[in-house]
Amino acid sequence: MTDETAPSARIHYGCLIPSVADYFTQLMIFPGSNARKPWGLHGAFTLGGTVFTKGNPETVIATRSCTEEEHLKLDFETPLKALGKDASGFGVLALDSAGGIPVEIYLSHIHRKTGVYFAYPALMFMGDLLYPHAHIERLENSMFWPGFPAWEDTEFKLVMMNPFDLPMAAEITLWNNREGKHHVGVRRVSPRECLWVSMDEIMPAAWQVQNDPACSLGVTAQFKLLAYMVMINRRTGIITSADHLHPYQLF
Amino acid sequence: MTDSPPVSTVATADRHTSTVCFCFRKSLADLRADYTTYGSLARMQDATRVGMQCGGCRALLHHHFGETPVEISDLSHDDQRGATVCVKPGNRVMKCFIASSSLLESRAFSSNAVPLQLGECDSSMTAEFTLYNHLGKPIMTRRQPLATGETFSFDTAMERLPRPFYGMIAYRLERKNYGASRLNVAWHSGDSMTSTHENFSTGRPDVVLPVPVDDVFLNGPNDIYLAVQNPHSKPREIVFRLFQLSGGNIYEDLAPTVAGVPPKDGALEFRRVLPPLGTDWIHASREFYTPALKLLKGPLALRIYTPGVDIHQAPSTYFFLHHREQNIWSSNHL
Repeated sequence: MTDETAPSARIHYGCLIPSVADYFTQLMIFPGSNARKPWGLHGAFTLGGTVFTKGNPETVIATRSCTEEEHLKLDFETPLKALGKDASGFGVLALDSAGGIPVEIYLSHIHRKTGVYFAYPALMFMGDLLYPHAHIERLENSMFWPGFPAWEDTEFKLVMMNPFDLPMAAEITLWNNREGKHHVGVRRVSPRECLWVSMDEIMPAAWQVQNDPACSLGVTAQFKLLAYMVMINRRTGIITSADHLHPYQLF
Repeated sequence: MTDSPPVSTVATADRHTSTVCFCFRKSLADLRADYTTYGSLARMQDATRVGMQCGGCRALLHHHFGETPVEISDLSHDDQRGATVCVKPGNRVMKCFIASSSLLESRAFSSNAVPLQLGECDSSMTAEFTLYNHLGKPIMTRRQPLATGETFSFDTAMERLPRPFYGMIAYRLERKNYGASRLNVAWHSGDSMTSTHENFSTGRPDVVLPVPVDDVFLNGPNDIYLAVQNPHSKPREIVFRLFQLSGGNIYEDLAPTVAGVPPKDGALEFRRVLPPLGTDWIHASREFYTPALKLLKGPLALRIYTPGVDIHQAPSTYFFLHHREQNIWSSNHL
């Protein structure tokens, strides 16, 4: 738990861990690309993580360190393979840094059988600190996704991660240009779990028949929401993309 | 630092030491000191850039200082906005790569939904979009009303564009109320689809594509493409540096090289100039990695940078991976 004695520069990130049997996970960071004014010029970076499956910390991704002149690579394969079973869930990465240089973290997942490769940025969050006023009154708990194209060959799945110790409830809403608003209802995400929700499951059947891409999705949770939209090729079952949902414009 | 990083535990907090702006590494204590120095949130942002990178802390800035943060794209006095300008605070211009070719067609989407907490709020507005070709020349501009909750969409396959077309869509919303405001673009091959979003009207001065490429990768099923765009009204040079992951020179100036001789630095560079609002679609596997791997031992990574610029002057980059055998495309922004 982060407390007053912990360094203020600890940042947490959430990321996907798709089936270990199907995907190889890779992460490299090059923090020196941001080593310039108005940020710091010299820094030290230490990154590690924990993989959660079904609400439990399944394995630890060993920490690695580098300076702004170097790069850092995490080894997911060794600890995940050591589990001796298939596993999927989500990861919480912890970055400790000194020097004031911001870091972007991208992960890649490579489909083992075919070599299909998808990459996306990890989602930053504030660790154990909840800001109730900001999360709720300022809508940090609400996000959206615009458009569902190529429905015939792509399945969309909403992935909501709950890295907190509290259960999370998220209300999902859909908008269609012709049909208006549709309330899907509330989905619960247990502590330290992630929930995959297929649009095939929640989108009204009539909308699917229309095959109209001009639809949008909104999600509202109790607190900071970490969510991706994952796109899966129907022909092969392979993930082609993952991208984060967006916050609303506040001002 | 332990081998087992602590995971989150819930606490309600407003702690002076907690980080508020991650991009510029500003704690609440830092911000309060800066606020005292500069006297207002706007002046503090102008000096420190806090809240001006990813924008993720804007709600917290408002919460702590009770003033509306400067909009990331609210550069009403910036003449580097191109033909589509942002004229009112709170309005936004978003620019994303778009393609129409034998490889990909593009569909752009933007939601005009209102978050549930605001109830039956009216977010109706007029949206405007402009398509720029790769030279930065505007070839199409349209305005259309958008009702509350409506999803804007634009499909290159439905338009009579000169093909192959590689360019940029600039989407401006003109709303006075809260609501959704991002533009996603989905690229569709006929067999598969991939999607990501714009970075408003900003760019990224210095990024690294974290995909290690060696001869095995190059001879494998994946091709790497890059789409670089200049969202600004002045030309920009982009430098592509391929460097050896093991010992290559990532950040320092490179020594002069001799054609055909492996560079001492373990790195070499390619350069492109983007015209104002221009775009370049690059088959990086063929144009960058293949020649580089003849001189450098892989694996190589790729740094993409424009010296001496900030996010309001820099180009932006999208990367695409095409699995030729499955005809599956994947993409994201850098």
